[in-house]
Amino acid sequence: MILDAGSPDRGAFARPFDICIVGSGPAGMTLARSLAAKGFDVALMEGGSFDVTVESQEMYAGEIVGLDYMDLDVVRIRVFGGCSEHWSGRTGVIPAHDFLPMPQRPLAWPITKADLDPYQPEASEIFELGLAWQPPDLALPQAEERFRNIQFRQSPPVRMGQKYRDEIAASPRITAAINANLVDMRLGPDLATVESAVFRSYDPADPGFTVSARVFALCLGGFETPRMMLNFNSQKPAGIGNDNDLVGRYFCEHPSREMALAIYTHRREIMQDNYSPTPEFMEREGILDFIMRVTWRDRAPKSLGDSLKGALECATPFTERLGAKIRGGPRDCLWGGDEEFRRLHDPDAYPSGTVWMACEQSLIRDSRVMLAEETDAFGLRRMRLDWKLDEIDYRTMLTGLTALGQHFAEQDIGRIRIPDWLLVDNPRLPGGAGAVHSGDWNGGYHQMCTTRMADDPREGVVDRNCRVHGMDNLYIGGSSVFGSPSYVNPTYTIVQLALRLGDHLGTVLPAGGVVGEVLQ
Amino acid sequence: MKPPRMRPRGAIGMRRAVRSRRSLLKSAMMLALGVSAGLPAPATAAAPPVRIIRQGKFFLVNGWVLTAEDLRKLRLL
Repeated sequence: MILDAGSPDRGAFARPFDICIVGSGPAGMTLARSLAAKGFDVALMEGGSFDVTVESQEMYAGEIVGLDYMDLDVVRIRVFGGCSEHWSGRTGVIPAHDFLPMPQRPLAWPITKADLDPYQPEASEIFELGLAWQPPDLALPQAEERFRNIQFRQSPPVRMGQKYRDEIAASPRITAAINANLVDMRLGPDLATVESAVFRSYDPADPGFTVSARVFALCLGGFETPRMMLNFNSQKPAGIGNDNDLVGRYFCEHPSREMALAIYTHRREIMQDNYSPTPEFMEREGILDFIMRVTWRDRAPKSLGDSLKGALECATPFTERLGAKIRGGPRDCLWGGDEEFRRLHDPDAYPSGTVWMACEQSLIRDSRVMLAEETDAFGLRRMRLDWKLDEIDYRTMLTGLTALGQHFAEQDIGRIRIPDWLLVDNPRLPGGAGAVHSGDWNGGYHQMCTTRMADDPREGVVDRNCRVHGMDNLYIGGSSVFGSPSYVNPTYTIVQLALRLGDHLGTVLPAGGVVGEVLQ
Repeated sequence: MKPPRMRPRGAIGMRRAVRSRRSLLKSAMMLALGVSAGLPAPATAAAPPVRIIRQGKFFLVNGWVLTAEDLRKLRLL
């Protein structure tokens, strides 16, 4: 059943559950379905509703003090189904070498790709990708030494809240609530066990209600999971799971934007190509992983008269176009001119475009989610984001673009211009604060690593089974547990991890004895 | 009675398209001639200096990654 936390129906939670899952996004929804299928009694709690509401979305507001980032209440969506309700559907598998440590990546995952591979068939089925797949490494002629050609798959995209709403509602094993806002977690006397979680509806007079369970799982995303753990400090001053001052640290995004300009010498089917470095190239250059995709310039709106004028102002031979662009001035036809005119009649003539790039970010301890002074409607402190990049991140961008530029020039595919902001001594991503609507953003909506996975509690918040270090029954699902971020869109991996966590809990929960009754 | 049409519509459409394209190019030429008289002089004198950095067998020229052959064609080498 799915009930509203503001209704009297919430009395359904006045009994112990096997597991209480907070958050109904790809991680929480997948974990709930996995454990329900194994016969466990699941409470699935969602702070949002079935549609976006102002009062729910407003909980995500916060401060930005580091690198510019998208508005925090816009970059995420707080509804039943979580981020799957606004994701693009782009689906990829983290390559095996991105799980492993390298000299330039000393902190890595404690698990390998092989640990997640068994969950590809089910994840692919969830995202309606057809058969399980391994991304093929397609040949990039003359570039094999430096680049691999990576292919992504596209989900419709699956909106999990819509796809599974009826299933959740009909499930005898899942009791779900919308408008159920987590406001506290209460620990047992040993301070190592969560005994109950406290929820409130949006009614200001609501005293709230508790949910008791044997196991709790926070599946709130890379921002909210650490925000909640840091806020719940009435019994542990540093917050839950924060004995080593790591909750919220190592925040990673995928630094990404249209990084470079390109003009092409001739028509070529290059839109299909995604350039990613070979492990050998990464090791040789001491850089992190990335992906680059070349695009065609979108046609800028321009009057016919201006287009014609520009067309005849501009030189058409490639060398002359290149010279005009290098020297600048009125013959620079980047935003129209001959390209614009000819594209009106032949989109493949004289193409220009951009190089879009998304990078694996380095793990930086001081790149972090903290608590702001301002509080939300439930008295919880809002988040403060301090996003940082390091020298290796900018070097990765510059090395990748330079290598692609050399490949394009050598093969006479086209020429690439590296942006000025990347060619200075101390580069910094250009401003993009709140620019989510303009398309000029610096990230991928991917918030990762803020409760990262590590065997050593001094290096991560959760262990390889996603259990919070120092806590007996608190687990975390979602991209906050990523050991390192790779460059790959994270949703597919989030679901693989949730399925794996479901299997793990399926083996450890019955050992407690209480669940045996539920399994009947 | 008029004789049946000898040309399929497609052919006439094609001729019209060709005529239209010629007309468009003619308009473009006329427009360019009219406009170009008022255009500022080429900005080569005021253009920013060309900065060339050698990177092995490649060159970084105002941010563009170029070959030696490019530089020769552009009379920069």
